[in-house]
Amino acid sequence: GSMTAPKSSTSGILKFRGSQHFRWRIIYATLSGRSVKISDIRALDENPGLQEFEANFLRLIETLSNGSKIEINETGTTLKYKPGTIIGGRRLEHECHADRGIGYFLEALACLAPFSKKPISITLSGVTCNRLDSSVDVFRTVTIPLLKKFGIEDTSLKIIKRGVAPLGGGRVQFECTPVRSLTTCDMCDSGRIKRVRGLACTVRVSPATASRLAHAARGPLNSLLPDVWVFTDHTPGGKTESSPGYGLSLVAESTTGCMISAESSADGNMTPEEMGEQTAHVLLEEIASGGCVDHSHQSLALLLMVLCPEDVSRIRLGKLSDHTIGCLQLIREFFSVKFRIRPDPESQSVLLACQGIGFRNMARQLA
Amino acid sequence: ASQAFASKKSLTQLIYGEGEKKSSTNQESDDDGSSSDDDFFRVRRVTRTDRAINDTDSVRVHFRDHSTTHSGGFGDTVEHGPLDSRDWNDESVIESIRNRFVTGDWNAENK
Repeated sequence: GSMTAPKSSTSGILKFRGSQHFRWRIIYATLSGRSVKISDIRALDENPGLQEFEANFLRLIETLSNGSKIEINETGTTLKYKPGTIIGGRRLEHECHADRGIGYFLEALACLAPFSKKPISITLSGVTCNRLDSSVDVFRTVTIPLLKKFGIEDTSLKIIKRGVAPLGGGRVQFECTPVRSLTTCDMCDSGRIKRVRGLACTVRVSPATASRLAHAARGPLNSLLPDVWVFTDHTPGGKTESSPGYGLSLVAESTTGCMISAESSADGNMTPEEMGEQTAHVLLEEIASGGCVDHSHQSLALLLMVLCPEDVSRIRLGKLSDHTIGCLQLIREFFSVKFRIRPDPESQSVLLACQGIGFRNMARQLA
Repeated sequence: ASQAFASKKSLTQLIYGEGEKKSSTNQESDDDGSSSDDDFFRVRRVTRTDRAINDTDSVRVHFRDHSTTHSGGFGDTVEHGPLDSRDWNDESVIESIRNRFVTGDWNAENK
């Protein structure tokens, strides 16, 4: 279609097995214009095939695009996906499956919406924070600023209502104005941390929980930095049909504009004090690993680097997670882009560089 | 640090595999009838990602408690499963990253 990158080797269907990196395979397929066939999806599992949240994710892809074709076999263990064009549009809605956070879906929107034909305005309902996915707060305070660094200026997320699993009931509105092409990014200087901001959210639990979380999180951080502030946000029972729960997100900002996040959400075995302290420890761990983005933003940053103009983009990351390594392998298969990877022996961080494929949003140009 | 230097090559190899990997394995045309015979005799390279137990497709990383910490091998730049955490209750561990903050020593080498 008109969205395909200017690459000669875009023919042939890519074949995969298993359920790993499901969302990313679909995202890469959509952006590279290449069809995929994924077989043996949890074939030996007692609950085989695509999970409901994955089918739900595919419905979001259908909502956003035109001309895509999705075929799933009877057991759900084999999927064929032929990508269409990302069209977007206003007043779109999607009810996110409550097994995953709204963040799971937003992460895909961050990758796809900038390359839509029309501006996107979509309301997502579901779970605003959970233990598995990025919260809507981190998306707003970390993901959107990261998009800006690549020239995706006009993106916003409005948190209308909070909701936690299993009932969910949260609501956010995501808006994005597509771009023609990205801006090459050089992120090698992680700088020094100058402030930490946090948000402790409580839904249908005692509002005092938020201040306990905030207090506990400040402890380990204050010995390194005075400028630490944790805000609280309480949703009382009368205002939501959500289940009770709470979450904490912390964001460290460096002198070079790097945003490093850590977060957690209610765990039955943890007091707010334990959770606050543990989240602060994870933030320190992220800061210590020396990357210019945190672990949960490694794969998004790498994808955007690939889509950049035909210049060299560079980034410093902390230890590469399993998930990130899988993404690097997939990027090579879908986009024929191989990163140069050099560990920095002193800081234990890793420098990655690649030449962008010069992705142009053809659909938008014709519009 | 010498371990990290030694891993310079292996990090790229670990991620992309040794030498030139044929991209053809994954790219056969869907309706290519002759491929099934070839498939039968081909030893499938099970990729690391396919072996992964964790298939949550989540970008969030979970840190393993410091008490169970073990060395990751590849110059500590790559780890499988949850990442190891330092003991942040230890005063000296906290001090070790002081220069990552504006409150640290600006004359000290940071990188």
